[in-house]
Amino acid sequence: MAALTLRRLAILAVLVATLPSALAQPKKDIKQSEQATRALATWLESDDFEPRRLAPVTKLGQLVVPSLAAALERGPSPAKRELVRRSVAADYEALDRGARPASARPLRSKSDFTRHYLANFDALYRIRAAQALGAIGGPSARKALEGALPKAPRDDVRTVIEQVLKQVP
Amino acid sequence: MKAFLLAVGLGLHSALAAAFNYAIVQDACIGGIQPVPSFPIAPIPVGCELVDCCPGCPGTGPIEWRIKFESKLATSAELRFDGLSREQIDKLDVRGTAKRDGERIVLRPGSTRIGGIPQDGGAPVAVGMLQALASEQAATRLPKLPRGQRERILVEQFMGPFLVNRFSWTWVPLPCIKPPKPPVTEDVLKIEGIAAGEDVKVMLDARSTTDGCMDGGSTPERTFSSTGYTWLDNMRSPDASCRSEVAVFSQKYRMYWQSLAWTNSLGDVRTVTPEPLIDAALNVWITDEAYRADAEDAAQKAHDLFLENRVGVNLVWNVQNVTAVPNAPTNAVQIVSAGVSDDLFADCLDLASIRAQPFYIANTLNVYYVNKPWTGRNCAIKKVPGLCITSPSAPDFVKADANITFIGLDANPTTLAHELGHAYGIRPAVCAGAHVAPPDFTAENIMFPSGSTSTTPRSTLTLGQVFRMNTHSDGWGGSMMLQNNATGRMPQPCFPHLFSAACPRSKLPWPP
Repeated sequence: MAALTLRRLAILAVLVATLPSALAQPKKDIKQSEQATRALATWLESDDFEPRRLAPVTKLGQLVVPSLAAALERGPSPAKRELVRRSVAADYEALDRGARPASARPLRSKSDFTRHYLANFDALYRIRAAQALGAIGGPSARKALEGALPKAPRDDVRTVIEQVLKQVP
Repeated sequence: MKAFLLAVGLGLHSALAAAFNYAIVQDACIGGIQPVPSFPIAPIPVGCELVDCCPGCPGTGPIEWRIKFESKLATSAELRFDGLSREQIDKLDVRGTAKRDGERIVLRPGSTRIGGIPQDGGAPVAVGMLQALASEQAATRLPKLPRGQRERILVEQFMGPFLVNRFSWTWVPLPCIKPPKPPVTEDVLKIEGIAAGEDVKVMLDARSTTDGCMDGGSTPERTFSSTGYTWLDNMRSPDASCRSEVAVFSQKYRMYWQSLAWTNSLGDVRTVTPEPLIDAALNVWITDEAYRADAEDAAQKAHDLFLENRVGVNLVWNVQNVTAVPNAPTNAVQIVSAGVSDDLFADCLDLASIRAQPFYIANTLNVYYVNKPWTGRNCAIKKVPGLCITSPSAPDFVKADANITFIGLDANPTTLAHELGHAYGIRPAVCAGAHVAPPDFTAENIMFPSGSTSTTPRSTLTLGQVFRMNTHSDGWGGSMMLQNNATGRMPQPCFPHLFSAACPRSKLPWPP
């Protein structure tokens, strides 16, 4: 009986001792996930190529390959698209309020304008994803690039994927 | 009632660099029992920043908003969800300081959690429409707020324990004291030519009896709006320790920039007469007719933004197809295309061949629309420096031609205006001040590195940036405004990350 109690106590002691690390592990994962999301968003939304924006993504390595693969295949999230749609619409409205030179063509329709620039954003987003996958490299990154190539929505995206595939480690 | 007003800069931006981001800035002068400010409505889409939510996320499922409302000025905020049915709104789990009021949720300072917000990762998404409200009593507290105090509403979106999106609405009450009408015996700055109902923005470096030296060195410059007459305290005569000059910015005139000699006596009147806007030729060359609509819209956008932000130039744009230019070679498109690389680096390559063509006009801004997979590139520097440098260095960071800009296939509506900011001397990008993170520059700034992070497009330049666009010199040619338009100004190096008595801080805002 006493031995059994001692054994229970020992198990309890082990559980108590290991509890903090068991709890800490998910917290660490959550923090890492947040940092990764931040780094990915900064890079994927970057207009200009700046190595310092790509570096935090490549540092994360294989951890972010699935997210980059998803970005390459599916583009920006619906929430992100909605933000950009509103921004482009605001741009259009500002242009529409201003005067244009007589020699210029009339401003195209709002829906055409919005669709066009949303497509540009979508393409650039996928291009940034492809470039990051190329910089990280590895079999998973290569597989994602190869899988996305035939489904690329535009020639510019396709061109970049092809460029990256030639260089991916 | 005090004749003391405060400007409230409302910045919607992330607290950290350029992620989970977007920004809106609004200035409003309010005070005492004046009508309370009209805060903008901030649309916050429900859902993840990334299409797979985040590394390690479940991917789909309901969202919980965790809201921190920290403010003395805004006493409440109203939140409505567009795209959610009444039934869905009724099912939301609202906890904390917020209260449900029909279809809206009224937030109060403190913490709130709104759980069970449905999202399935598809479109269209629901959008939370957030508007802060200030009471008249809160407005009277404005003068008592500590200078530089930041107030905010932070909205973090969680899926389970994972942060998947973030929105921070920050506002900074700024003092913008409108000078009381002073005795006639003090000094006056008179600016001629301002039409009724208009104003100009003034940056004044000088020393005065009251404030000592204020020239942007150890103390900030004076900045204020003027409708013609500005009464000042007793300005003192210039000395070697303090600059004495004025810069005037307007939507209808070019930047006026001159030294001003005050005397130690009372009653000085100094008169400034700004000159008309600079007509700056903007030659836009397209390599395919498919680009014409984009080119025209972008040129007009740059024209409008430069006027609105008091750059002092009227961009006179003209879009032409390189293949239709008289005497253009048959390989015109190839010559243009060879000017810049098509990889992610967008290095400026063979510009000499372009410069020899009839589709390059010297001493004007030349923009080329090309079939390349990026947004845009100004060619002041051959390669984009990875570090902040302030002088050319061979072989990569040598002077190319800041009058040449390329626009690629993935441009957004403000890419051209952004690149022309570089043509007008805001560079290198990596130096803080041009491409930088909030809160100094929000996603509203034309030089922000992404044109697609906000519901509000890039539309603003600071006073400090516009000053540089009008004055900057460097080994890459400085601002092309000075080279192209014979402004008569004495150029001076004024890199974005540096400031001194000669150069205001790049982030120096416009006075209200």
